[in-house]
Amino acid sequence: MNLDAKIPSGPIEKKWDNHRFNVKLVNPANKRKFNVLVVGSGLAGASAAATLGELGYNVTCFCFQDSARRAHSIAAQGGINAAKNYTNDGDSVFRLFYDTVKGGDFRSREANVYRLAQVSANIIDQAVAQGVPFAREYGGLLRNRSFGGAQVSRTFYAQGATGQQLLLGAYSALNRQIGAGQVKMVTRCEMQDLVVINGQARGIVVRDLVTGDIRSYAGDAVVLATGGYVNVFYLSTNAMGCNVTATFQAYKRGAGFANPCFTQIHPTAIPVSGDYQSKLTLMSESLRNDGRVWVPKKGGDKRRPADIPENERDYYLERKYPSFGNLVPRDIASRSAKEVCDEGRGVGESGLAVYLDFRDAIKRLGESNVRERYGNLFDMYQKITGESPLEMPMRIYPAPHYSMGGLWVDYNLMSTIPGLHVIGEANFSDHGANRLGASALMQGLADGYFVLPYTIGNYLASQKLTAVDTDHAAFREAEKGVAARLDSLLAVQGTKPVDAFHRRLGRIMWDKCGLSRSAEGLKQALEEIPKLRDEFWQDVRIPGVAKGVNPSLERAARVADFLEFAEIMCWDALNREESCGCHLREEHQTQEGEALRNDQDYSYVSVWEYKGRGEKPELHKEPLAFENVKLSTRSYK
Amino acid sequence: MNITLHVWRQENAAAEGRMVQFEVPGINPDMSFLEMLDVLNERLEQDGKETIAFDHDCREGVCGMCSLVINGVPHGDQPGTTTCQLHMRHFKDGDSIWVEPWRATAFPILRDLMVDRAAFDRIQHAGGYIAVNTGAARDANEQPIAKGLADAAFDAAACIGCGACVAACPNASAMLFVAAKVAQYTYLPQGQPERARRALRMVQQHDAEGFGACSNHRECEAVCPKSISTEVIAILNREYLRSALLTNEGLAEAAERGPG
Amino acid sequence: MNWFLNFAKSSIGAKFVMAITGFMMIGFVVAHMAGNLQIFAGQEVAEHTETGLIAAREALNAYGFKLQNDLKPLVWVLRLGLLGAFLGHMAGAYRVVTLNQKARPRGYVVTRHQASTSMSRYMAWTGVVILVFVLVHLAHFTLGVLSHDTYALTDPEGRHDVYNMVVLGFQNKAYAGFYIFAQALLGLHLGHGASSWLQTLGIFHKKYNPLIRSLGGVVGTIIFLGNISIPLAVLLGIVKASGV
Repeated sequence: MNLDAKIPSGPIEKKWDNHRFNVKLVNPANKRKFNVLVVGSGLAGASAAATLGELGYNVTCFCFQDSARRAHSIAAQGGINAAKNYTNDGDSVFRLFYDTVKGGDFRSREANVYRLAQVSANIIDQAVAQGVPFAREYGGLLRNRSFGGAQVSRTFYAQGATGQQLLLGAYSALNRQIGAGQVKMVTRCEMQDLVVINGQARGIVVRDLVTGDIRSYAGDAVVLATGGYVNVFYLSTNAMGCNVTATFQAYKRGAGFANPCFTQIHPTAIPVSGDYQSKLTLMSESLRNDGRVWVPKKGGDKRRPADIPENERDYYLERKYPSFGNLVPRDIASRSAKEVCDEGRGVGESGLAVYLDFRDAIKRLGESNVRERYGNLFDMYQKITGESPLEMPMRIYPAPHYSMGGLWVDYNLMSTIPGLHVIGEANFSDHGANRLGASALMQGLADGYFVLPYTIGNYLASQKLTAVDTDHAAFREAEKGVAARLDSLLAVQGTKPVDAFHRRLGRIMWDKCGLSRSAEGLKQALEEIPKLRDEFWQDVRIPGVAKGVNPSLERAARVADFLEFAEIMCWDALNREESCGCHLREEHQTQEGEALRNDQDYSYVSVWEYKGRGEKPELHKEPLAFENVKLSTRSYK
Repeated sequence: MNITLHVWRQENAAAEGRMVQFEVPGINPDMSFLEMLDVLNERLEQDGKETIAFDHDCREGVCGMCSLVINGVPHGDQPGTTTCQLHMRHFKDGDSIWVEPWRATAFPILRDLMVDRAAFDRIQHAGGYIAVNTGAARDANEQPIAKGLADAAFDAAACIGCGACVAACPNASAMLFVAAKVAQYTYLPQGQPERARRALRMVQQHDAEGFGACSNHRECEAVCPKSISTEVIAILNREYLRSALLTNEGLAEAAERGPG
Repeated sequence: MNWFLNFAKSSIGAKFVMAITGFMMIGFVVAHMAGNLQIFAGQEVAEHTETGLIAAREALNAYGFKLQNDLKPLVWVLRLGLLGAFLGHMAGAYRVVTLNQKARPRGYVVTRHQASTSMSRYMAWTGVVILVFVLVHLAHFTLGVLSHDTYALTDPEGRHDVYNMVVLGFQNKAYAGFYIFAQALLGLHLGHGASSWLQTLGIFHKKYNPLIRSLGGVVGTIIFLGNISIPLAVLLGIVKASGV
């Protein structure tokens, strides 16, 4: 597996400029001769499809929902980072770059992150020009707030709906291109396979979720913008439909999967309330700006929170990390919550929750100011729990939220399969072992608006692409494979519903490959997952047929892939004998329980190559070089 | 809790549908409405029966995928709530609940409770954007926008495109949906250059899709999960009238197509 | 003028036509009511003097005479305008109703309205009844088709005796009842329409919205009370025939 990251030469601040000058360009008149398939219509997919359309490429964009606007980027609440330094508090491209590399615990690729910081400012400009209604000051200028892992205020936001507003901005740009005929939108279709011809990605096979038809689309390049895979945990903050199928099928076709064990567990989600629970709802990290996290000092304290006096409360984040306090990065906040709950000091009925308290903020700012900042989040919390955070502290607990891992890509965002580009959460490139808050929106849009549209031109201009259409035998074969797989799922006719298996898989992954991992647990998981998978293929019961709408079949196909994919996560977690970012190996901790990174042996990206079903995938390594930041122990004390 | 559900079932777009009754015992009041349907579906799956198809995705009230007319009210009778945020604690043990799909010519039923809302997308294709190519933007702070306007634009932009406005409207009109987008851009300086074209084209598409006209019943704002006010419809009316009566917009097209 | 037809057929254009014509007709209804209320002018005098009852009809008949003679050209302009408004309103209504029926051919099994009023939902029905009423009313008082005898009355000055035609007309309980019923529906029709037209024209402001929204109720109520006061006064014997 060739893992040449193709990082341009020169000083880091010149790499992107140099590269943009050096890439091959496609003549404007020739762009319309190229067909690009963009799978996914979230921030990355929609922005890429729209921008490629503006440039003149023929684009077809796919989503499994009924409209491009539904992609799960829409649910991002808190904000988007950009190195604008509008607040004059010392921000710069380099600081955003530095914070992101450090926040990722030095497991990301410097050149990619620097480029991300560079284009971050353009994203804000672009969004404002599209009519995205960001929060503003009375003077009419944009407003910023601070977010975890940073000591400057660089986060732009639109109340608690920043993702929605940015996605609708990208969606509007996409709509303009659809209206102009440059982009064809294919909705309610889910990618089931990637078609590789002569070693190049040349198309995809989809299942039409309304008719059940299996269809092929051919193109000169394929862009996966299919999001993350934390629904492998069953319960997560992701939408119900989020899945690994597109990236996993690409992996099976030869794309390397990078750092699959790097999954972010977000510290502030509403805790689980029962077995029936279908998903976890996130409460934006921005709440930690004014909310204080605490648990009772003694275990098993069942008093009402208001009855617990100040000196019997443990504001553990402020105590352990005085300089960042409640705004420590997500991995640390999550782990600390788990620790205090493991000590028996958790609150709520399950004991798996901590308080996020706005009492002091209300005292300091007044109820109406607190309501203005967080009103919609409070309403959301109240709808779900029936309690008002203005009267009772919120109860929160960590929940799987984001996958830093994803398909391996080079500096051009191209995977190990030529022509297959991967953008947004679906790739691995920018967040290392932990993503900072308000950086996902930034990365998705950076990839889609400002990076891929350049780099894909380089690929298209430098390739000899033979004309291929969907009559090619490779498409027939892939279609047959997809149909056969779905038929075999339907043919099982066992006794248990799909979700029963997904729940069990989630339990295994949460316990053994979740907030903390150990060699012992991971080895157990690697025994349990294949067993569960076998049971699934013998005992799942999917009613209905392959034709027409069949939600059970859709879910079964996704779960079948999760059941294979989960193993790679565990292999990856087992291989990485260090603690870094989200990945805490219990064997590798300091005396005080802080993560112990091993730069000597693990300063690399682990990239996994498919070797057949049930076989252990092969590990490849892309060494990480740090020339511009000094490797240091990440400290937020 | 024990619930009796009456659910619209329909094989596909062409088939006849009917209400089917299900008994759903053992419901936890903390479940969301969709989790209650999940429980029912899982029981159906276990029995090898086809599950009730309904649209849903984010389950946190923002993707706009979930729908359902519950006891005659789109998204149920809790104000400012999507179906996925509606919890069973708002119902009583022993309740009968009637669940129907959105009903409108422009939203054909695909199966059971799933409808096709592509008409909404086509309205947006017609003009729901500010034409600015990637890279063509100037610095974000170069043009101040009064906070009040930005806030008003946000309130309109909060639309999740779920279609409850259409479902609730006695005329199956999509005016609130169209107006929310038009109003957002009307409030902002960036939206000014295209305002005439946008209003005309979006309303033309709205009509072509077969949505009804607005009769100011204001059912839409009552059920809108984002509580978007019908004030935006007044803005749309104003924009459309201005565009149709006071600008040259639509002249060329009318000459080409003739009345019709 | 293709563009105008396209406009008028659009969902908002049809509503615009209805709003403008509706406003014109509200103007007419108010003016018409104000003129009719002159029937009460002189009623107090009528109780006390020998010529009182004659005095009672003086105001209305003089007003009627003036309209039909001195102001005749103006009246015809207004009548044609009104006819245009009426036809425009009906055409707009027809367009809107067809659009709306096509938009949802199949309704819900269960419907629970959250905000709309029966006033707004039954606009088409109240409109149809008002149309029938207007035709009957025209036949009755304007053309005299339904009331040859009273229509032919003249007062001592030789003027068309509007006063007695109205009073005698309303002494017919069936007609007075129909008239009151129709006025109630007109009140309800305006109860929605007189607020709604401003929204349709895009006139709104957060500060004045409560005022705009209450306009319908106020106009509807005034028209209803003002117009039914005449048949009620006749039925209760407050207003009596004069000089016949």
